[in-house]
Amino acid sequence: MLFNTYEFIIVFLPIVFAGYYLIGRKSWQWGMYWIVVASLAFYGYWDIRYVPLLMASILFNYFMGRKIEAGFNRKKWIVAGICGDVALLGYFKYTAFFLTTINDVLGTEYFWVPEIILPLGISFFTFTQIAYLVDVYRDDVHSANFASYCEFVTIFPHLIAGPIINNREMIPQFISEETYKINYDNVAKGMTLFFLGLFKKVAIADSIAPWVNEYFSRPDSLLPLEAWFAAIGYTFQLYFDFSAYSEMAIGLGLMFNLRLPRNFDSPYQATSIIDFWRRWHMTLGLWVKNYLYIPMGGNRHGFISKMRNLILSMLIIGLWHGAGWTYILWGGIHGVYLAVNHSWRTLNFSLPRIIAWPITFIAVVMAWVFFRADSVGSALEIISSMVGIFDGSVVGLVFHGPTGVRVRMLVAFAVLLLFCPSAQRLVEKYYSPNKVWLAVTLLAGFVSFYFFSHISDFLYFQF
Amino acid sequence: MTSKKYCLALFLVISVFFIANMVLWQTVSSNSFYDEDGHGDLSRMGMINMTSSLTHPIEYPQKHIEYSEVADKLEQTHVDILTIGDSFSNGSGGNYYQDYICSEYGVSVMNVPCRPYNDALKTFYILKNTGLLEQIKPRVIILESLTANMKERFGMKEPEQYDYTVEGFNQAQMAGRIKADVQAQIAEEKLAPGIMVKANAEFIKSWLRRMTNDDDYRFNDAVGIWKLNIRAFSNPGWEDKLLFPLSNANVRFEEQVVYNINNNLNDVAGYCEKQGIKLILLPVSDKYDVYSPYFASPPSDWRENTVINDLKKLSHRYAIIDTTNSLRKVIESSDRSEYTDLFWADDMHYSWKANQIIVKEIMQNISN
Repeated sequence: MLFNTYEFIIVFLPIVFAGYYLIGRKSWQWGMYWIVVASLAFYGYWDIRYVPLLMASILFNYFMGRKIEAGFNRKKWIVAGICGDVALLGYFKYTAFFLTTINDVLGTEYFWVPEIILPLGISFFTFTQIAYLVDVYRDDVHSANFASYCEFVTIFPHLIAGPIINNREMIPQFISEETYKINYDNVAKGMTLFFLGLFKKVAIADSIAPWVNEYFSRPDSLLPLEAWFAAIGYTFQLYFDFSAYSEMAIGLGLMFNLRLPRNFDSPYQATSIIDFWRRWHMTLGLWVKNYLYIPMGGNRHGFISKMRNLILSMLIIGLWHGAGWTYILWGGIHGVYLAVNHSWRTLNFSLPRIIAWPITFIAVVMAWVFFRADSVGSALEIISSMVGIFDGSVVGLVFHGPTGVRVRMLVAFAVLLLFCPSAQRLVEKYYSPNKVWLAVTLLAGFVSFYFFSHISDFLYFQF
Repeated sequence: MTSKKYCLALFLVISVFFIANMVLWQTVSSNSFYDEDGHGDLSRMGMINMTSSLTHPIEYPQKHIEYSEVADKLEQTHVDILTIGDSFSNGSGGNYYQDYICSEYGVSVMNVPCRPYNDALKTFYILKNTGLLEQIKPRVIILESLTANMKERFGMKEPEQYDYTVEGFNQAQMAGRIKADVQAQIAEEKLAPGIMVKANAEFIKSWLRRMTNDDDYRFNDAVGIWKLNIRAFSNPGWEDKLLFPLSNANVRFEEQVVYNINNNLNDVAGYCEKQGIKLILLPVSDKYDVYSPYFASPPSDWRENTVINDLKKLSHRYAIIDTTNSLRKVIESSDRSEYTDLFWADDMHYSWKANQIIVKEIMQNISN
């Protein structure tokens, strides 16, 4: 089920919300069971066949966690647990990719490539649970019974596209009686954030999507200007789409008295790639830092190994996003960007903001082309068309018709992203329950419903 | 305001909003949006509840070739006539005029949709510059455009010629085809799950305009309506009413634009002559231009688009199909069944009746 559907907004959310507080008032444990069942229904609405898989993954990790916690053969159990998770993710997400790659390299069709449907949100719930196992191993975990563990993994606001949550922050909330008692301050703030996120998704991201998709579907025939429209359009679309999802998830969490972690902080205002990764998909960045980069050695063994660890971490982030060379290349490019950025820092010379920002932004835009393109070849075609603009070729630049609309949209969104705080920051800083905020929220809701002309997936569902 | 009141107000207003929208959609606006016999979208854009046309699209036995179907075997494909144009050349209105040519005259017609720019001249130059035209080897090329759009498509001083590769062009054709197929599926299956609020908003806007200005010919910002002094349509109750899109109406080109159009088309014709190809311009006359002599009370500022006549007066190396004249001749004939539904009442495209009339002109021109 998608957040931006009538089924979710009119049927699912009111029923789950009412049930949560009515049942939770009698017994908070039953409130917890209610939200777990509702979350499984939310997941099963997409494809009921994958609910047992999700449950199996939860049972497996909970069992492994208990074994590690028991203190006997801890290392073996953690290795087995992580291997199990990686195997599950590997089978569903990477089997076809690796077999195809081997076939391509060998120039044969030696391996039959099965058609495996990727279960929704598998990357998110697997990473969440790997982190849990590692935290148990590090004795850095809040003890959880099976029901609260189920809630930790399945709770519907974050289940399919994050934010990636941490047990130490979330489990205490799940097992607190206060969580199941209605708090109107949180509900009001949560509804406001939800509708602002909905507006970003349907009124902004979805309005960019048709022409971005059209451009990326014909990379060999793009004029330089169109290639830039494609790249910048996708840059904005992805941000508005994914950050909208995160804000809606955080808003929904608040409506249920749960504080989910921030995931975005105006990333396109970043003035360096290091800064960008502190603001973009922050929960994934934190996960990679805590469970990958630092265990690999982090920056503890000299400059060269730090660079190696950075690039490796980013390659894995790329692979996590999708089983394809475009994603790996995107991760690798960001790895190199980060390596360059860290090297530059050693010179103790910082560029003025007016130079640093455009360099960072263009670098990010270029990398997104690889992330979005259907193949590495297509990405290179688009990049080469983009470079063509430096020959002074602005063929097709007009300020009327569809092109004019696109120019105006991109300029407006650029201004919005550069000078405005994110919706979450706005709510945190300025929100109070008054008539102005009520009007703003209602307006965002009405405009969003007006733009429900088509239902589109959130981009990050595919990861 | 307390948070509790804020939540309740938000919940109540959103609930009322949904209920009101659902009631309006179920009782009124869905009928306009998904009418039984929707050929086009003028009634939908105006949120007008129209009766259905008594004329229906027909099936022709023989089909034309679409470029994307044979892009990889052009050399082996025999093509007599190549058509390049906008929605009129791409089956909008329920029928391809090219299918009528194939069925009735036994010739082979290939259609190249104007993708991605919806501009026949740009598409022609891409075909020429990539060498695809030499592979297709047609005897006749029909360049088609709605007259209202001829200024931006053909009227520039120098036509823009884009640097395309064959792969790039084929990719654009395939992408366009997939998009067109998806849109056709949405139209056929009436899939537009979230259209409710948008349709209701349009309905309320149009209703308010009619309430405050009942003699205004505009239904809303997109659609206008005029009374005719003939019975042009078969839709019961709508026989003498002309629905038309406001965006292109009342257009007349400057003299220089007409010269530019002629020069650009003469350049194309010159190239075609050298290749032994006959070039035909098919300017599709707009609905309001065809019917302008029959307006019951034309607005004082009304100007008919005379580009077809203007071009005919200039020295041209290509053939021109005078669609306005051909259709008016039929309208003026005494047989009512011939002149009803030349256009669809709720659409701006030709019906198969007008297509047949135009095709006769085209084929007569070719045989001359």
